[in-house]
Amino acid sequence: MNARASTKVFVTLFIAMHLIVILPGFFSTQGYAEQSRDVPFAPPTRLHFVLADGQFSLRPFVYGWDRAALDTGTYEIDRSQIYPLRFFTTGSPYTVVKGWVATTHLLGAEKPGRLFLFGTDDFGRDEFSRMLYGGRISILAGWIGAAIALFTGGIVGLISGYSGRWVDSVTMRLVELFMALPWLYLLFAVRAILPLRIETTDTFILLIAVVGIIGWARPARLVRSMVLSAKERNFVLASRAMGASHFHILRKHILPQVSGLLLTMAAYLIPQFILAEVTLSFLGLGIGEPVPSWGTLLAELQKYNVLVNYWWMYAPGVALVALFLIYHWASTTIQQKVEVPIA
Amino acid sequence: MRQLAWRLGQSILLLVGVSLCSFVLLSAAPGNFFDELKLNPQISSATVSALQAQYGANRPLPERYARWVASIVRGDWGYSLSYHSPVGGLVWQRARNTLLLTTFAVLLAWMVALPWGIAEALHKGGWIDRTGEVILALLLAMPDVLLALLLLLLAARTGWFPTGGMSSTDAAELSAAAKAWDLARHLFLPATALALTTMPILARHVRSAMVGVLDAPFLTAARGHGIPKFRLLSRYALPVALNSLISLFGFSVGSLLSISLLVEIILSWPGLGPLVVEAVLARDIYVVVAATMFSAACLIVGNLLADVLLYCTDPRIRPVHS
Amino acid sequence: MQTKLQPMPSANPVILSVRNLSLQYAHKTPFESRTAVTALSNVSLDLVRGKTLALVGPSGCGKSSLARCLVLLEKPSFGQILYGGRDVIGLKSKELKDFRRDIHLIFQDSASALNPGMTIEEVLLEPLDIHEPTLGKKDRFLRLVSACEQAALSSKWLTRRPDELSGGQRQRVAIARSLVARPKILILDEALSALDLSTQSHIANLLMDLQSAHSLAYLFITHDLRMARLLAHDVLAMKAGQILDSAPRLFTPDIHAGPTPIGTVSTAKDTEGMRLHVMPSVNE
Repeated sequence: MNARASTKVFVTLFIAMHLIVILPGFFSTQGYAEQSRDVPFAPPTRLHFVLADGQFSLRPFVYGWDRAALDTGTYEIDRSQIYPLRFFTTGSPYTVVKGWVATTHLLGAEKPGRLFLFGTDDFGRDEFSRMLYGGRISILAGWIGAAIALFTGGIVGLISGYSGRWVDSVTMRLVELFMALPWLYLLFAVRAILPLRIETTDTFILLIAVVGIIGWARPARLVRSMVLSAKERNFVLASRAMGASHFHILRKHILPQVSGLLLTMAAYLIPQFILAEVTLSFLGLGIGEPVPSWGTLLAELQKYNVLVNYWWMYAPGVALVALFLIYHWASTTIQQKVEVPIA
Repeated sequence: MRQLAWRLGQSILLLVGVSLCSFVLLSAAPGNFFDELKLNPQISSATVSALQAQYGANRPLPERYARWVASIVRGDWGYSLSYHSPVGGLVWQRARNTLLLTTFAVLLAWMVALPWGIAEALHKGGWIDRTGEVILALLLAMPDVLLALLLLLLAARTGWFPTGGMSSTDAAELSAAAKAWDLARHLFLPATALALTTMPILARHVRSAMVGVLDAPFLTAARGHGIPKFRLLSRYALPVALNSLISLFGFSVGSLLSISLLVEIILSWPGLGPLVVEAVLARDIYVVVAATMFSAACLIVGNLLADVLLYCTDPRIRPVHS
Repeated sequence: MQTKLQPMPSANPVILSVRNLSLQYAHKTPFESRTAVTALSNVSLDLVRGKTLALVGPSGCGKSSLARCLVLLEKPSFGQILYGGRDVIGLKSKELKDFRRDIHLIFQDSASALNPGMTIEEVLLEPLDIHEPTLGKKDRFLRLVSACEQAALSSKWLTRRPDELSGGQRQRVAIARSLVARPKILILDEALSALDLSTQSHIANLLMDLQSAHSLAYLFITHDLRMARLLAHDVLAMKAGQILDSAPRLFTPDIHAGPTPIGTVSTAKDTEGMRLHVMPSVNE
């Protein structure tokens, strides 16, 4: 595979993955909190193409489970009835944006058949749908956290690098203060400031704020050092000699220099912040039930029987690895393009 | 020496800053231990007020900070309300375990990363390099949480390693050697998890540092003199690459401390991790502050150690007249 | 007063006067107390409309510091820069607008003086963005074109970026950029030194043409005395941050007897109409 083709593949994957988790309602098969108490820890529903009489069916279909077996806690396929899969089916309602409720799902089994692509958890909730909704929370937390960190870090770095003197000294001492703590300790310390029991939507916003606040120091330091070298460049001096305002110099000469760095930082920071959210939620300090995030979903694996017996519960972990691979690729690619040092 | 003293002074100032910041912020946080206590129907509000008065929770902030500093001098580091004991001993007992774990993990990570990176650098572009890079990329993309969980699964499925704790239940009756073996068996899983999370980063840096050195003209010249390969590596290339690797050492300490928290919780290693999370949940702020201070101190010591090592190995950064 | 200019006619009034300028850099280290490095001491000179003053001296003598002081990139520790009857040091940035438009610095290294991320067009329009932001689109374009014509810049270069041009072309761009704002004074800080010989003569001729067309005042900073003599109406020598009254032997091996006022050394008293066809050798 040449570089161009692999770039295409990665970009497509990148967009697809974000699209899916941005619109979890449409791509999921049901709501994240819908329970089917009769089927806890059901294995992923298998898609079939070959009918009982040996004929091939272009439209995939699923079977239901044997009722009697379900009562004893085992999952046996009941081949008496098939449920074909349908695209753009009408299912449980979900909110696309505030005020716009839709019911169309990309995929669904004909009623009363049930489709659990990645199986179910202990409440019989569809793991696939929960994974998509969880991805929305985790990825959004990563993005917004990185945005907050880059914005504050960028501005602090710009100001302290550009103005120099005591402003620079003070902010750099502050940066050192923040960098003197390993990030998880810092995350815990900042998390400890916030109230413990909070509404889930508030939790989300607070969580993102926490995640963003702890990350400003490193970008600030990088941006500062870049600004320090940029402002002594001759073309900046020329601009200053021409009488350009500070705003003009920052916008025309310094920001373009820094933007490449910021972009690389973004590709590097977003996975870190996703990880921070996952970690907090995993430890029960983040998003609470029933709202899923990849952290709370992975936290299920702390239960011994889930860890050992139900392999489909690892799905969010696999999704995380895939996402991180894509981001690592993105950050190295951008880094090569703009040639900035990182870390 | 003067430089070192300067750095030491800076570090102490930094620690004071960390303590002040964390103390003030955590004290200002909404909700405290007693609020949680009040929610408990079995404890009367009078008892809570009495407790509050006893621990001086109603005093103004500067006074509480002063009392806390005084308690540091006594070695108490404040009082843990949920454990009913001074924080110092509590945290130190756990911190010891964390240190043990991270020290082993650092050693393990470097022991794997060094040969790995060197092997890749020697066979740059070859199949060893490429497969090595793929594995490293996968490991890098693996979230620490998942890695620890997978190791836990491995232990649970195979039964080769104990799945938690530091020692077996019958450890007290074992001989010293058997005790050490027992500890090593318990240590293996968390240390591996920890090492695997930092190893890829280290290995990549080793590789790039070695590639840089191996391409340097002086090494080509040495090769031209017919110096054997192993000697070339150990005497010529490694010492030069060492400098950039030593600065990495400080960094690896910081990231290991963080991930260690997580690994400890998942693999039930009785270190700081579980303690800190409990303390955050219980609003036991002195424990959180002490743990934070401990981590900052570790990171600073790690960086200082890297500086001293660098000072010893690199003649360039030594002042000429000292 | 170091140098007497040639008896000046009233048509050539002094446009910029520098009086007793001193510059000290404070050096701060964590351990030692502050040490001061003197870059300029007691420098005085006059720039005259339509004339070139050359400033020669070895590297590190403070020539560039003087240039940076004149465009107020450095704040002098002492002295005056008189322009239009006012001392510009200590003026507020609003009051400085005119001064900054009228004086322009051209650097030795043309590659670093132009923002590598901008197109030549953006580079050339920057002075207008700064000084005449209200100018209409059409007027902007006209100014751009006329500056390009005067600097002999081809319009096909406008969409390129600085690193796609040669050193001489970039120096033309730098000159064009200064022309866009219609300045009165150009400070040429080793502006020709990094160029090869034929390019040097091209740019030098261009500068002379521009001078006669707009009666610009030049401060021509160089380490090349031959070049200074050919281009300048007057030459000043500088050493260790001070203007020398007399030409040092180092620079004038052909003059043997005693200190000679440098004013008499300068040969090109009137360069109007004079063209440079043969360039001086560089191995002075």
